[in-house]
Amino acid sequence: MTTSRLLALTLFCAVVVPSTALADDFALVGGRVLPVDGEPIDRATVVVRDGRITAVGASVTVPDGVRRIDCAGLTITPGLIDADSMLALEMADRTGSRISADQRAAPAFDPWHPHVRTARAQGVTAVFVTGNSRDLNGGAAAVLALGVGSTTALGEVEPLVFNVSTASASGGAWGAGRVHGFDGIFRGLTAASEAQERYDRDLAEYAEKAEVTEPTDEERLLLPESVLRDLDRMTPAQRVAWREAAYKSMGLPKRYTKPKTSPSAPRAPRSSTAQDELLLTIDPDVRRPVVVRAELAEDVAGVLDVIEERELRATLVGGVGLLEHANRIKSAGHPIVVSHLLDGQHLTAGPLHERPTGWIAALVEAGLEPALASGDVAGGTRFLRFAAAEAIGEGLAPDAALRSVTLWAARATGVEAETGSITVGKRADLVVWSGDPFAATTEVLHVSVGGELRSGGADRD
Amino acid sequence: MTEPSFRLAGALALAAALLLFPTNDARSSDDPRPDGLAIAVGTLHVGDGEVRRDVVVVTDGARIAAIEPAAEFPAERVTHRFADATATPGWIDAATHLGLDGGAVEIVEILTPDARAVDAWSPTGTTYEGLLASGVTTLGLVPQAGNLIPGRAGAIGLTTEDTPTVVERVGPTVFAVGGGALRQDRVPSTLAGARAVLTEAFEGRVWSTTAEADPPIRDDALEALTSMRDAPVLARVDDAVGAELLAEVLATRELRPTFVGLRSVDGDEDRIAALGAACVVTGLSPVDPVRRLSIPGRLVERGVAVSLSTGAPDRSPGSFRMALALAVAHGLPTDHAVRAVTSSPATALGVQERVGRVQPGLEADLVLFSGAPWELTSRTLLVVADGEVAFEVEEQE
Repeated sequence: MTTSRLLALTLFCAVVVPSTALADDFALVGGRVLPVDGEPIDRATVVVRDGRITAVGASVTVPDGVRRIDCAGLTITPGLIDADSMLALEMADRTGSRISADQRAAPAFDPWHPHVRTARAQGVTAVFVTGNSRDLNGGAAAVLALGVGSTTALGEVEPLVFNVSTASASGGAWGAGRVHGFDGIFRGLTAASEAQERYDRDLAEYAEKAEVTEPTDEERLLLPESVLRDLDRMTPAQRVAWREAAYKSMGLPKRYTKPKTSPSAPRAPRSSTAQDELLLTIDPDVRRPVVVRAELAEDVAGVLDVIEERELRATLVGGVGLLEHANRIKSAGHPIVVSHLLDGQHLTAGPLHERPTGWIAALVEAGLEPALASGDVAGGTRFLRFAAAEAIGEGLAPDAALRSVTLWAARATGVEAETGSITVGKRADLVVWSGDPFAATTEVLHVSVGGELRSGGADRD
Repeated sequence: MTEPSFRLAGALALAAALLLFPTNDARSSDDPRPDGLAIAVGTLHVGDGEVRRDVVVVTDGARIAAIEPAAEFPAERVTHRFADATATPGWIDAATHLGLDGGAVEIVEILTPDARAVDAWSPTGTTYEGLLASGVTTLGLVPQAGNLIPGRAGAIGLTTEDTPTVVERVGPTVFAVGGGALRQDRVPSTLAGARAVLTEAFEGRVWSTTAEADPPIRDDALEALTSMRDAPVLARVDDAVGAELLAEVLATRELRPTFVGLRSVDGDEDRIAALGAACVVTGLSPVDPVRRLSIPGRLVERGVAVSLSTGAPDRSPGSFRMALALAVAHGLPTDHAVRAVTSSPATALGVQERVGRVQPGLEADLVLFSGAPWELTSRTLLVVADGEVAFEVEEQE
């Protein structure tokens, strides 16, 4: 069968499979609950109302009017979160165009993409999507819930992504040059913010010297009310700058006198939307989070230098290169994401793929809390549980493996307050498994994405 | 953290053995296995579907000497005790180009039945340690499908030595109408053309329509083909149409195909099963569509003997185990899982009398897992290749 026929078929299925989504409240009763942020609870009940977890425990009574779903003998975990994915991003990573900081991944996400359904069918309820993993600037990322045909962002802010060295970066994209470029972005930003400060200072000075006259009543009639309101609120310096531009564009006579010492008002430094987005990362009041992909060990070192110098709030995404700097990352407290575990790239030999047996377990032993991620470019997200299973097969403790695809993934992507564990008050992102979540023979029986319940293989091909 | 320590593990095992038996003289003189291992396991998958409990696998040099019930075996002679472990034969990746120079394909000529994959294989080009640590002890070298008859497969036994041993230099001849064998820029470029070329070639003739279109075929190649009859062969196909056509052509010479590839047969499993041949499903990976991952299960359901293989070169060591887990998750019954990576690929490569089962007389290739062999969560505890410990987990039970 050709790919197009296959695609057509899966698309067709997506349309005709009747939705079993239920908007009502429900309770998962009698299963083994692995809350992840606490000890496992046998024969426990999880109550979901209005899309949130309202009760968890062995002695919880199900309120009247709440549908009971028998989970005896089954295992209940939080929904899995893929902490680095390209899932269902149309055109992402394929355009080859340069991405800038004001480009966002979220609007490119297609909630009806077949991969969303197949990922949900394997217990993945949220993905961290980045628009681009090739260009140094990867745009703004987002954590999206995998609801049926809906796009819900779980994080409050969209972190900015920087690709310093990545498995999917094309030729010449990795190495010291990239760290230099990464460093360069922040050197440029610092210079830009210094220029802005200088401008503000110069302008204030200029305004002091300039003799500003208020708009005449005649002029006031010509100006919109909102502008007048703004004018009244402006500092003298701002007013000068505004007048110079606005009066000129409106063809009005200048109503101020140039200072004697300076021939003209100071010129505003160049700025752009992208730069404004970037500036938030070094703004001490905001500290917008950044996500930095660095797979080669030497790049990790360089990236850590930049992060330290600019005091960035950073999550590191990488591979075995992170292990070499585990102590430094640990003491700096950066969350880490171990990626490209399932995107097909990891199957290819190369410097990034010589991963010693047990390296993920070693990261945990070093005190880090790695999120495991697919690095998905073609639908690998759905087997996130197998990435965790491989790590278990190489010595990672199963409870750590479960955290690595739930709580630690939520933490690394900034959505811990919303999801990542079975905790009262959090979103009802839940999976009911027939057995061990990491076993090939285990099936997913129910998936709840924010309380939207899919049962009995409704999402399967 | 578990570091794979290959030679170190071997050396430690040797040291341990020396401690137990300081010299050969110290052993009882009637010990028939001066160089043998005795590995006690809780579960043994023999490789052909049979499962035995609580046995000791005894080796003698590079061979398996016996399988004894643990209860009747003297405890002091057990060299490795993994009471909770599950053992399988060493895994066999039925079709790979790993270590093959340029994929070992002669694309100038369209029929190269005399080209041998092992001749293009480099024993030093790749690190085999990771593969051994994941339980793979034999590689089926299948030349890449770049022409109609790429050549002869071979089988390589991996060992801890720098140079892996050759299990079988000359395996089944490979025929290919899939995997890129048919190309628009030369003859044959279609399945119909492939049928015509092969049918003529079996009769010692060159098929062509015009003099200019003469496909380059050597007399040697034709000679090799005309004498080919009643033998197992490998047939690389993508889909059911190719499989049916090749099966029909091969039947004229009583050649018995094992299909290799089958990446696009989803939905046509009935047609493949009707051909009555064994199948090697190649290169299952996490990015494959669900319907492709279901092919092994659907073929087994229809009574087909299925092997798995990684198919392509340069796969990470874990990809073979990943392929099996994916197949199991998509319907391959667990009681067929072990044979799909052991005895079935051995048969496909024609080396079933040497590897692929844990049976006295066969090569001492053995893998021990902490749990079910098809689960990725199971750790590799011990790998024995060619009678030597090739990998051993650091903390023993």
